[in-house]
Amino acid sequence: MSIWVEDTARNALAAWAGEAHVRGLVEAAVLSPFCTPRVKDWKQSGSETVDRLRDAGVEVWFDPETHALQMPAVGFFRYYQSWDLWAGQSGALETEAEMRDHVRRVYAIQDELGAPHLAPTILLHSAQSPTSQRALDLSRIAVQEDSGCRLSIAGDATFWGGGTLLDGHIGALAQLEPSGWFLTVCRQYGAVPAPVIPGEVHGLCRTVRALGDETPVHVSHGDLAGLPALAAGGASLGTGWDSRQKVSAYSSYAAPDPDAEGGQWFSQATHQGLVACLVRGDAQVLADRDAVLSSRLLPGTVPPLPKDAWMHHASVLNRLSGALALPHADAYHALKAMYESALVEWPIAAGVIGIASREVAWITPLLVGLEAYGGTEGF
Amino acid sequence: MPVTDELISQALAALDVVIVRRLRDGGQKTVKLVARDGDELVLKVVAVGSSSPAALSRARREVELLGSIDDPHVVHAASHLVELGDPVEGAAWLEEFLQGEDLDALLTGPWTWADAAAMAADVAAGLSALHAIDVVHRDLSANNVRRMNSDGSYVVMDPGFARHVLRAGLTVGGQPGTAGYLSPEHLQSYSGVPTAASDVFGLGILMFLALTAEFPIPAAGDEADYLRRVAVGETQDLALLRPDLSQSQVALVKRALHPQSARRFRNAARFAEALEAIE
Repeated sequence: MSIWVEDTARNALAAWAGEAHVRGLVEAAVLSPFCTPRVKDWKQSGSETVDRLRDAGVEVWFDPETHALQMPAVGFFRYYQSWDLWAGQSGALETEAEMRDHVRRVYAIQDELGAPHLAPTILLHSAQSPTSQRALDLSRIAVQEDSGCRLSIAGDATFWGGGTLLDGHIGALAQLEPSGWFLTVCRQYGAVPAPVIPGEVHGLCRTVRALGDETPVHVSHGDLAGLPALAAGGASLGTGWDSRQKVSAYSSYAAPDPDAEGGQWFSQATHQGLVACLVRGDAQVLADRDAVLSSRLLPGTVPPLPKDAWMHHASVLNRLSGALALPHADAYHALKAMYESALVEWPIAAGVIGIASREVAWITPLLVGLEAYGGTEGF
Repeated sequence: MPVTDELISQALAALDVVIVRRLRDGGQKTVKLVARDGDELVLKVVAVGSSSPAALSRARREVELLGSIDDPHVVHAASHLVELGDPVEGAAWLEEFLQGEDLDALLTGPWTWADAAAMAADVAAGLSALHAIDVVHRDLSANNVRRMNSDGSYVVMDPGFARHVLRAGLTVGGQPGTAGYLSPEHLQSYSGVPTAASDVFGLGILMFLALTAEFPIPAAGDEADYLRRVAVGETQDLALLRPDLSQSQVALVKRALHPQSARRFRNAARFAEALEAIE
């Protein structure tokens, strides 16, 4: 199991991912046309970023994130148009010719960057619809163009919670036998920890369990909410230092508010013992009032700077995911034990800080979804 | 629209055969044993009317498919398709006559593992020939498998609802199939429709039937309840019904019948490899 860094609007991908790789915390980075320009802007160009990442030993992927084009209010196109991804209108995938042309353009860019082929996909809200059929058709064309590609599946919580409908769609995709998978849960907003629902967790786990035996599955933008998918057999988990790296949210791809100040650092401290994050102020209060408890939950001290917080977060994810590198049933029980422990720790920590305890919102849905998966597996 | 005597007469003339005896009559389709130059063949005649616009294209697809496959475990076409009437009111074609018995008639009691495995290996070989050209049978049942008198081998028949994965357009709901033999995907539409893994589910049903003389998802009783059990893949426990089977034998059938099609053997060839690996 490994941790991958998703792309960021900041100019820090190569430096921070590279440093984390040197520390043994990160294996790969995933570039996005929404975050990285093809030609140098105030940000490094795609090829410069790739060169720096590769020099640092980081494996590089390019995710076209075509599914973001179907998100409501998508409009964050500062860099997107610099990539030659469409012959005509962006997002036009109605005909086989349009699909094939888009796939070829995506692969051409990935070839240019020296990245493996990762197919584009369409955002799904239902596993049985004309749109799901188009997503299947697009994937089929992607495999026809390169049978060694990885396929991508992106959907909202309703899609992933689709039960037998989801299983049918996944079964049809599995027939295409790609070399691996990117799975993304897309959400309305980018709150961290992500607000999950049990059905989505169960569906994601079932899917990873089905696909992960024969091919690697990347849980894109999964972060802490992706741990159940790792327990079900996922190979890698996407994350980063900004909320847009931790969550694939509609808000991350929306047109920026011209009046917004922007640039605020994501300021949270990840607490391993809570399987969640606390805003930095609350984390500091906890550390001031009960240093022993804070040190145990983090573990360590509250990271003082954004880069420290990122390295600490990556360390926590490595430890948590490393603890799940077990046979399926053992991984399930290990994660269940983590959540059950967090359910106990949350009220204690919240009491010390003087905030509302969040275990019901952040841990219980994950645990219920995980237990549903365990039930269907007979664990 | 039923098959009329006039249509049958036209078919006999067009294909230059004479009737030996009736095999199966079923509304829009009639199947007869016929003879030509001393050889016995099967004549199939379908009625094509305004109420069954897909019947002609389905018949064309079946004959085209059978003509493109040369496998001992798939029935062979013995003629091209001939259209009957002007405007077209029916279609007819010839297939080889398989001297033997339908599998359905043989499922009267629990078989040995060796016999069930031999049957499944032959059926898997036939399905593999379909899957190799990206065709899904979609209606595998004990009525569509025949045991040959000559050597005891099994042959897959009636891929009349077979779907070419790449040539098919949108398929919305209403999947073909036979009660007792439905996979969870038979209840789905759009991207969730039957795949080669659904035929593997059918293989699992045939093995379960052979080993226990019971359906893994019995179709008896309330139809809505049956469909619910199909949707979630709620199967009987083979280990309870056949405690004499080994864990690997039970596991093979169980995997073929997994509710998630992505967790079954991907296609009949993969199933056959796993079957062969079992002692």
